[in-house]
Amino acid sequence: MSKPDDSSEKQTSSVDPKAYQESLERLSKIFTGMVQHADEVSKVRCPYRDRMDFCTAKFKCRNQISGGVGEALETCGHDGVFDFRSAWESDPGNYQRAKDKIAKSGQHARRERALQKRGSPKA
Amino acid sequence: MADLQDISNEKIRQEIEEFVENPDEIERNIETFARVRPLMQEIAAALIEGDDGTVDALTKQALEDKIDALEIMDDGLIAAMGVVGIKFRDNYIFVPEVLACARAMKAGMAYIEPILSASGVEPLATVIMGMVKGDLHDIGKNLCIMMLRGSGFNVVDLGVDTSDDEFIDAVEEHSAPILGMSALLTTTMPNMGKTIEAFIDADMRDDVKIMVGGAPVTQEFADDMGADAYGKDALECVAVAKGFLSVQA
Ligand code: B12
Ligand code: SF4
Repeated sequence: MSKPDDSSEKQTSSVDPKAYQESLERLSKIFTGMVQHADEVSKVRCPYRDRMDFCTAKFKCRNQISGGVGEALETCGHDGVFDFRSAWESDPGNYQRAKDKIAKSGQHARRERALQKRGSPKA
Repeated sequence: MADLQDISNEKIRQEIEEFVENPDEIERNIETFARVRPLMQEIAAALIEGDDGTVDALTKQALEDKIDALEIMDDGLIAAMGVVGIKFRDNYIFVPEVLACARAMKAGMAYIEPILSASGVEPLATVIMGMVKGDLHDIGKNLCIMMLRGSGFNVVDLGVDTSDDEFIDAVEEHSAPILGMSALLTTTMPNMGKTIEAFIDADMRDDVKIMVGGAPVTQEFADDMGADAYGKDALECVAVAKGFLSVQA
């Protein structure tokens, strides 16, 4: 893909900020519907699975089925009907460890920040 | 009233015929595309395909042909996104295709942005976004970026597995007032706290507002780690970023 060059300079007309704002609002409305739907869909279908059921993830996943020699993408072998999100509660140990680490780093951060504020205020 | 045959681009005609089912939406799309010039239809067709290279080339050509930047945005890019939204909502395409279309939109917008700038339309602010160290899930972050860009922010995407130094360097380099960090794993979520500490150590914490998100993150975690805000989804991500600006103003 070429890099945007000076084509913008050849543009004679300028953009009306009010009209641009209206365009942006239209776009934002379209995107809002999309992200709401994405949040819903990804509860039951892996978001890396495209419409042809190919896996687009750039990682190894146990559900990938190799399409054989020359296949650019692997096929997703997951049945795609469960809610991945329930897995959040699957390892209480990990969860507690994360909680502890965050609490510790948070305390440290608050202390350091308070010291900094008291010590040398930034110009 | 316009008719499907009034649309010169075959791909657009096919898209409307095959994927748009709601009569109001059919009518609206036919009206839109029948009215716009063929080059805008070509840009739209390429965007719907998620073909960023073609959107890039055609947008450049359109500007060279002295077509108005806002016309390209409205009649090419946004009109196409409308079709993408319908196809996604009705399960004809899924998240990977949507993100490819968002990439194609970005390729076109890259030419429009300098014109906006020259016209005095500046981005709301620059936001640095990245997945924390050790985390490779990037779909949620990418949706946040899509929303932020669609709402007028300039976003610098640091991608996945981002180190403290990379976050700090990016904030410094772009003088960004906002940083967004995302984590999808319980094991990587604490790295958000570590990055916040690193900003304090670098004496830069007061220079930047930090928002955090991702499925395991909660408001409580965000408070504990000393973030300025938490957002539960991409819509909140935009609301939080805008909130930061109104506080600063
Ligand atoms: C797709 C996926 C993958 C795929 C395939 C997984 C598979 N099939 O086995 C890949 C291959 C990338 C993957 C890898 C792994 N995964 Co995974 N993965 C997911 C999955 C299903 C979807 C993530 C996603 O894209 N969601 C959709 C988006 C739209 O939602 P989101 O990311 O939450 O983002 C939204 C909000 O959170 C918010 N948001 C996000 N970021 C930000 C930032 C800011 C600033 C703000 C304001 C808001 C915000 O806005 C977004 C849009 O609204 C999740 C479960 C889930 N449904 O969340 C598991 C999940 C996150 N993965 C998990 C795990 C364990 C892994 C692996 C460790 C597996 C392994 N053993 O290798 C690896 C880790 C790789 C790494 N180092 O990062 C676990 C995490 C468990 C835990 N408690 O930590 C989960 C919950 C699933 C599971 N079955 O166990 N994963
Ligand atoms: S193979 Fe794994 S990562 Fe790929 S789409 Fe299927 S579940 Fe998702």
